[in-house]
Amino acid sequence: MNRPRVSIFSVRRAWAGALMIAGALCAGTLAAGSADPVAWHAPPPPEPAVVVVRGATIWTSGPDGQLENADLVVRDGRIVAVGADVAADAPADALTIDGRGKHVTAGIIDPHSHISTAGGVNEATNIVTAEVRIEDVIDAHDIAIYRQLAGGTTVAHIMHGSANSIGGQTAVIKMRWGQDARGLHFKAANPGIKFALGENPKQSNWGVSQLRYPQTRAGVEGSIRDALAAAEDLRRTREQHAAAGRDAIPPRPDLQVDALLEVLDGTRDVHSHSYRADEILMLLDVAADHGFVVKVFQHGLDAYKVADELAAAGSGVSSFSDWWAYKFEVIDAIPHNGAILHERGVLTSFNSDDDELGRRLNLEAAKAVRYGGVAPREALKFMTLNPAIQLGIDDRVGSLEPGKDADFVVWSGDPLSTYSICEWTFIDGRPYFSRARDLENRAAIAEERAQLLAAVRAASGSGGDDAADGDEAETSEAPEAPEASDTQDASYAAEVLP
Amino acid sequence: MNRDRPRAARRPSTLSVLLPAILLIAGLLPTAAAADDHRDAVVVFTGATLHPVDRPPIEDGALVVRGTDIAFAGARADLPTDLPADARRIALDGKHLYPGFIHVASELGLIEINSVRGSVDTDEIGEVRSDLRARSAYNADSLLISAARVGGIVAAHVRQSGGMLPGVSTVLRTAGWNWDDATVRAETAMQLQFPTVSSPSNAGDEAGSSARVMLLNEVFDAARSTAAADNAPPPRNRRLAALAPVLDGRLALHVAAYGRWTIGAALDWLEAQALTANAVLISTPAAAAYAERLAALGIPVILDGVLAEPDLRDLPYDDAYTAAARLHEAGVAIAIGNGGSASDARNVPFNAAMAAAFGLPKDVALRSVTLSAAEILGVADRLGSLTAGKEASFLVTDGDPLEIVTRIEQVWIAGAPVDFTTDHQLRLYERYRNRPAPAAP
Repeated sequence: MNRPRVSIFSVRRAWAGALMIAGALCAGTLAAGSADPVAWHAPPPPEPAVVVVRGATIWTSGPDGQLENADLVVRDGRIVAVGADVAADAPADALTIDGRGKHVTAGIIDPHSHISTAGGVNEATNIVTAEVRIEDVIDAHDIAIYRQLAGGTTVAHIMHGSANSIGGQTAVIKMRWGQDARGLHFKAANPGIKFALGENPKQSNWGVSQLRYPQTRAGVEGSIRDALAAAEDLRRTREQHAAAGRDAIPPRPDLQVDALLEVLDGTRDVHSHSYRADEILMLLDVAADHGFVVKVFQHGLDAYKVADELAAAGSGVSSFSDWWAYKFEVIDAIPHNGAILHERGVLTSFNSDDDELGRRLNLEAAKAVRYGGVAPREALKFMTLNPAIQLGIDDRVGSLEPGKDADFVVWSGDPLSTYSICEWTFIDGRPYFSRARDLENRAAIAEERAQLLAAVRAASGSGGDDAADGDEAETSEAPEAPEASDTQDASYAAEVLP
Repeated sequence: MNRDRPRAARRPSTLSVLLPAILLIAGLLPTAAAADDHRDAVVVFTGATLHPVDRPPIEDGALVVRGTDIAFAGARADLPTDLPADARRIALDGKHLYPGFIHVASELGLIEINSVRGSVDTDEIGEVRSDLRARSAYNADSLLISAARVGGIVAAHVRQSGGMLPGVSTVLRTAGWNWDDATVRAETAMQLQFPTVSSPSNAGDEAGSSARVMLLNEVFDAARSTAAADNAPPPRNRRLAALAPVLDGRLALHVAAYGRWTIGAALDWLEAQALTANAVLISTPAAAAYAERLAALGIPVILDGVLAEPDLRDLPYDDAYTAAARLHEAGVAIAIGNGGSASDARNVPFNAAMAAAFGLPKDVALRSVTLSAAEILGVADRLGSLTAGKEASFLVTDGDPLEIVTRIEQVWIAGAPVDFTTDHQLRLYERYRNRPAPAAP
């Protein structure tokens, strides 16, 4: 639930300049001891009636290509105009951004993400768990959402992991920071389901005590064929029951089969974790046998070897830009994967699969230029229009065209430049991220932290509450700092911060 | 590319020493043998913009390579006049020349595939393995080294990371016939993985900060005692003996401390041990929280990865990105790495670029992956800048190599060009981009 009563990210002073909409946002000031110290989440920003960006370089990712010295006009959350001098009649109270020297792109779409899953990434108990749903575990308070917004990411396709050959139903979210889990859900997206092939479902890197079927790539294929055949069988049984009349005992409901029948009917898209060419061809084969098209091969790092086969089947690929060699099955992964696929007519995107990488995906697009020479405009589409098509949301997002959702990013410079940073991120016409606002709020956050710590100290009767007895697992030799608990945060700040 | 050109020898091989004598004995003059010895081959690059790093950029520059080293780096107008007539000349008008990147904290050569145990030589069993040397496990033919090389990495500081004292690190070139041939500085630093401290309540609290810190103290006490003993009786303790050069300041001590509170505890420990003078901190962006203290202690920082999330939830979203700038502004010498990953080594320059996007001056960012890295590793006499007398290890690019969209067109390492066509990934690219379309079914 969204609990905006007290927020360290809320705005406590007037928004700068053009915004002029501050008061409505104020969540109230914190009086020590009187507020709920766990509610740190921000309310969503209000929706300005009109937003105008003037004089920017606009990468439309649409038919208009790249426009110099152009304007973008947003009304009621939708784009109404993109082009030269289209902002002339914008109202005076519009939220106006001086775009001179800036670049504007469509919001970045991450087609493979595991953020905000509240630990529900892998339902690893069975080889097929088609019945479980990511939308049931969305954590709208995951700080990764805000951090990725700050890197221009507006949409993420949240999936299960790759522990089982059929992992569960995926969800697409918009990064509407401050809204609750339902508010994040991007319902326009096609329903999806995660499949997985190769080393992970066959448990290649698990302990030997946990073995279960399958242990080979052939077994992975078998497990998928078994599941699809079982679904078809149950469909026949249901049809027979429907024909048999009301007195027959109906077959028991089966949520797993329901999801798989949607796959067979073409109403639920398959997104399959995969690496090697052999397993990609295998799933194309399985899909052809059952009359559906694999929508997207996720990762598909060897997909360049079977690019023509993928193009012929109409399957897309969402690849890592340049990861490789972390497992044996990715020893032939090459950073030119995206370029070859793109050249051969496969709908191609890049993805993060990682909380951190998900906040600089504009630079992943740049790698399609570096490796294989994809034209910059086409490379950017790897992170905008192409994933939108892969997720079935290209009528709403993915390019800057009149009628689409006003999901866009204002960059300090060329979005493919390593020196550019994200300055504004809009979703549905709302400024969910503003770098100026973020910088401005930092002092207030520090102040609130100090107040909270004072409250904690007062409540515990001393400054030395003992957070030292940390979980042993967190004191291991992990190369990164352990995820800090709130108590540890407080304890840290109490001792280290002034 | 001149793929048949043999790598110039960096030291005379046994054969090259003996051959003249053999030929002399045979009654021939040694000049015939010299034809195959490229130690003195001269290559002249002209027209590119030179980015020496230790000086401002030089437009219409010239670089002269003699054998393995740079003989001249400056303006074309100042090109030496006594170049041999048969010097090879390469025109690079419109291009840029940069010193090659240094992977300042690296697992290159020690690891091939992370999940294949037999290919991983980064972590030894045991807390105290100070006698081990990483370099003898450096597999010079690693596919990952090749990818790093064509990505502009010309040298790597290769270190193990298991236990507390995993041994001595080495700076090696990313080109060479074997680890010995590739070595730039055999004994670079004693590596110390400081025990993780999970919360600030533990910092400075010896009992709480674990038996491991107590063990560390005991080890260093014992090493001091051993070093002080005039005639220590056998058996020798090779692990303690290996620490002697750290204690007397001949060998640097690299302290890897990754967690926010571990860093503070590591600094406390270094001060208590009076070992700050030769210390380098290998750390995460959280090190910036200690910028003033590091500056006061004069401890350089290897910032092992900028592309990271904030380590605490309520820190600014760009906390890791701004860490380099905050350390630099405080006066701390920094080099930038990528977290050590071998397969990802080619992304080292983009870690530096992110720091530049968030406040680190661009020239300092470039320096952090070239000359500053060389200085911190003690190899600035050989690497890190386009300077006469240093190794000719450099890149030819079509622009700023901290930009992802820039192409690295040539890489030269110790005077020899890197053959891109032998790279595993580029070979696969060439093979499959030229795959004929399958016959229609």
